[in-house]
Amino acid sequence: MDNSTNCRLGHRARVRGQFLREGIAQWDAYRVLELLLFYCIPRRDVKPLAHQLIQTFGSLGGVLQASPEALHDVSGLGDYAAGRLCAILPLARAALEATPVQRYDTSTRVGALLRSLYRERRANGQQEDTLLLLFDSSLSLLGIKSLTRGGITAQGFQPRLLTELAYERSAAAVLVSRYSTSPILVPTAEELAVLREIHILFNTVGLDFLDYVLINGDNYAFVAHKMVDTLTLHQKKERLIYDDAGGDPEGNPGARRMR
Amino acid sequence: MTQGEILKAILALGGCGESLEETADLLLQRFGSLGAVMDAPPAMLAAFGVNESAAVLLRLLPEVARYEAKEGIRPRTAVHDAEDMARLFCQVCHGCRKEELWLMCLDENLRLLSLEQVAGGTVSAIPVVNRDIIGRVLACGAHYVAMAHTHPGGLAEASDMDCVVTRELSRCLDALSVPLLEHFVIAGDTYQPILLFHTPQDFYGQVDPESFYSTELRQKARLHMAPAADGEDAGVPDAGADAVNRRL
Repeated sequence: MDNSTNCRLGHRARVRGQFLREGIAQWDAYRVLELLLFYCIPRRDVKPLAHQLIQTFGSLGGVLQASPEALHDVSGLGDYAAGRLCAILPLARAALEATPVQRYDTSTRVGALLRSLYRERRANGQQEDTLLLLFDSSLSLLGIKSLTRGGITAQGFQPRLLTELAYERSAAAVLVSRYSTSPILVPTAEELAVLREIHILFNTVGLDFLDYVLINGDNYAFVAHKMVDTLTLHQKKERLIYDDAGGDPEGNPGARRMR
Repeated sequence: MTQGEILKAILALGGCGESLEETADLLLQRFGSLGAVMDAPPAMLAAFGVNESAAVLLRLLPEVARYEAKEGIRPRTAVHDAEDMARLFCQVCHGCRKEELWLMCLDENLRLLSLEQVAGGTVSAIPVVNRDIIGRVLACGAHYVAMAHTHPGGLAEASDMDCVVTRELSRCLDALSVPLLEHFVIAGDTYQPILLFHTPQDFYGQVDPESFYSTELRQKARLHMAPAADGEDAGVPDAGADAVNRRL
């Protein structure tokens, strides 16, 4: 590989890096087109071509909607490159229209939702006892992940894991639940310590830790909201997540339900 | 096209040749949806065998579609009323996955001078710097402005902080004789005009509500305001002293 090829590959990596850092909203059309041409013409300086195409067709949309023949006539693009360039806009529109995230029905209150989830998993022979529920900023459920057995105090569990999973789904808030073998739904001192650690971490990175739910059979208890000294929920979210009345059929003061 | 087909096509275009089908299936299984795959950082995708070029393309393509949609809005487009504004904002905000703040500057005849994104945030918050916004308004010589920010969660409902920031900006802009006509919360194809829905009528005195807002919008706003009608400025907390940098 000669120096000029190295230089071009370096340029392409730089442009891609620049895109990842700043996006294309403020870019000129020819720069966006140059980046797209990287995917159509493997090894060539495509900047002059990008300028020429924008000048001819007037805009990025104009270039991307041009026929392969028109692209060939104007710039001498071959069938392969023109075909790839023409495929970009339909693919981009399809990608934009694709459901951004899979959302679950959260009209079910969270206690009932967790009960049915655990029941279903156990019926399917799944033994995971700890689940992570990921929500967006309007508290729509984005996804459910299984965590290690033993809840947040299990060996090997790290708050970093929760953060990574939340980032993966672009979640704004998370809730963790653990299936308790004991009918007494009270968190251990160790769990409370980890909850505080998670709360501090999430505050720092801009995530909401909604609650930690202990569940046994049909009973469940929300743990975190009781720790008012360190774990206070945003008032509006509290209104969205929990019932006004609070309390479960067993009289557990910590159990409230999602709207 | 299904999500899997779109993903495979993008990976192929990005030069991710080996075991394409397997990689696409694995990614959808791991991340749950195409949207989540496109939002994932390239380093995270690399663990699944996605090369840097394809990872960049995954993030680039939706932005290209949005860029092209914005290009379609011609300068000097006439904006007659709140619905026209909302339609333009919805067009440029379509498909966004993070909170974004957009500013529309208009001339004295309500023709479009500029429509640009002035801030980008996270999935649940966006930093607002009044000084930046004022700077852009002055730079393009606007006579009127309108703003919009997105709620990617899908709920077009202004928060208390949205109302506080709107009121502050409106006051700043009034002092510069550049009225803020409206500030919309955009969620997908739905929107809520904050000034109409969350402020007393005398506050949005820059426009004639009868002609600027449709009857349907005004009825919705009346219903929305009804529970808090007795108190002045109901539902809008007072702005604090540290009002320069806020998060919507």
